[in-house]
Amino acid sequence: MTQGNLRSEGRWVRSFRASALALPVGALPLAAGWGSGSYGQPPEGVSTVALGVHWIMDWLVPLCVASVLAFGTAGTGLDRRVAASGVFDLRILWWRTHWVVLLGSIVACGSCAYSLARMSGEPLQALLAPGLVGVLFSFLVANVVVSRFAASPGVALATVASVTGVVVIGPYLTSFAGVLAIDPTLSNWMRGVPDRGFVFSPGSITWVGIGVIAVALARLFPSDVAWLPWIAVEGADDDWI
Amino acid sequence: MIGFDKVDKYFQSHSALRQVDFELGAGIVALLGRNGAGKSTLLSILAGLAAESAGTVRLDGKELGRSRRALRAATTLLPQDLRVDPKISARALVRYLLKLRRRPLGGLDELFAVFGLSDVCDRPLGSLSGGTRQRVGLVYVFAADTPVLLLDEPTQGLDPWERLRFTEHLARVAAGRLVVYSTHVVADVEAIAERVLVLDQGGLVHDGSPQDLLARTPPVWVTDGDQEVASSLGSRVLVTAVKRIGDDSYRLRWLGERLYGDARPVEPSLSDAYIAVTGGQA
Repeated sequence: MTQGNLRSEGRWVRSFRASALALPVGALPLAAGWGSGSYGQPPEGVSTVALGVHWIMDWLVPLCVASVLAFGTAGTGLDRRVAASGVFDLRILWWRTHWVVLLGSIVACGSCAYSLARMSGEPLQALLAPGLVGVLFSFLVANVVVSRFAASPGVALATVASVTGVVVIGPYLTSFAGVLAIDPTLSNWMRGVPDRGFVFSPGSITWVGIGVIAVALARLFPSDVAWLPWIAVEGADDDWI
Repeated sequence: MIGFDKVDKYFQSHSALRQVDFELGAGIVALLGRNGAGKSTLLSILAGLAAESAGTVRLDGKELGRSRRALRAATTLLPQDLRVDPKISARALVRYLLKLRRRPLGGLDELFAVFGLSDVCDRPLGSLSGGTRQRVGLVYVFAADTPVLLLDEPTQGLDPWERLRFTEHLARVAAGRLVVYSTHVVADVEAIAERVLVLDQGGLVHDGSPQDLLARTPPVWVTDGDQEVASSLGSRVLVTAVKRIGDDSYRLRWLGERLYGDARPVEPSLSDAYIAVTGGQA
């Protein structure tokens, strides 16, 4: 049954879109390739496997979480016209109604870091910290895109994955933006420097800070859901507007 | 209770509401208009879910600023196509909605009984018919018990018995509160509305009692004719009803001029009046 039919029958699935969980499957070949050390030329003294697991935790995991959250949570939830009349703001409701998925993402990130650390010999915190920062950033982007702009699943997926991708990949690939990298260790290695960096970088603080500010701005401007454009449009199915 | 002063609403370049002015106090108000007239947009603004592009909205005499929390707290909207989780029961849904709005949960069983839902209120909503789900929405609205109730085509999908039950209950609970409901069913308006607002292409073309609306109606004529008369009439005047009364014989009803000598004048109905003020364009 199509979503349109569900709508016309007055039925609507409220829960998280489980098919989103299939999205990370597409990333498995990359993960397998990097995990086996077939990517990149690390500086002297750094193994290709160590480089690969940093790539996986620094951008593949956040990007997978961003895709799952954006596609899985877009357009779901209780009828917005009814939910918006509740005591809780819709943008707060996104966190409340998807807390299982958010918690699951954090657990998945932690499990991934643990298993990759065991496999590669990298310190756990060196993989876990940038992974969690990237995942947290993807939460914040998904919240803004899905609950503030109410994007459709496809648009949400593309937007959240693009923004997250630029932030978690861009600084490693551009020589001048190294300071904005979430994982300073990987940033050093990408520039041929074998040193490790501190697990929490200025880049981590900057991006999480920007994400939190964006969420706060989305909550405050417009200050009231009545000023969002989508509720009335959605509520006018009978009308052609 | 709620006032609109020269309210406009635009969606990009499209004008959904134009210079709408009214003051709504306690009572039952019917909102009539064709598809695309702006009824749902007007209800969304009344519900605090959408903001006007221009003009002013007042609640209890106080001009509303950017925040519409007070308006949302005072109103309960039943959308035309309430989207629900098909897996949960009607009782669970209504309880959830009331909790979400921090409204009291008492009296639900009585309301389920009033709307004939006592036997099905614990079944999954996905297994219920459209009309039954519509009644579940009505239970939510009446259980929310706010000073303003906004119903977007509440009788859609209801059979005549269910409509009767709805209008009886509405008349009972309307005292002291404002009920605005949009509808295409003119019979509902005749039965309970004290005031009628008619929207046409975003503009308010009538605001008054059903009697005021009837008084505005041009003369109404009835005659019997064949298929040829029926087809030619539509291009000359505003036809309000065509009823087949035999083989190639129709009873025709129209507004305006007396086109045939055997046509007889009749009292206008609310349906005639509605068609007259909305212009009758296809």
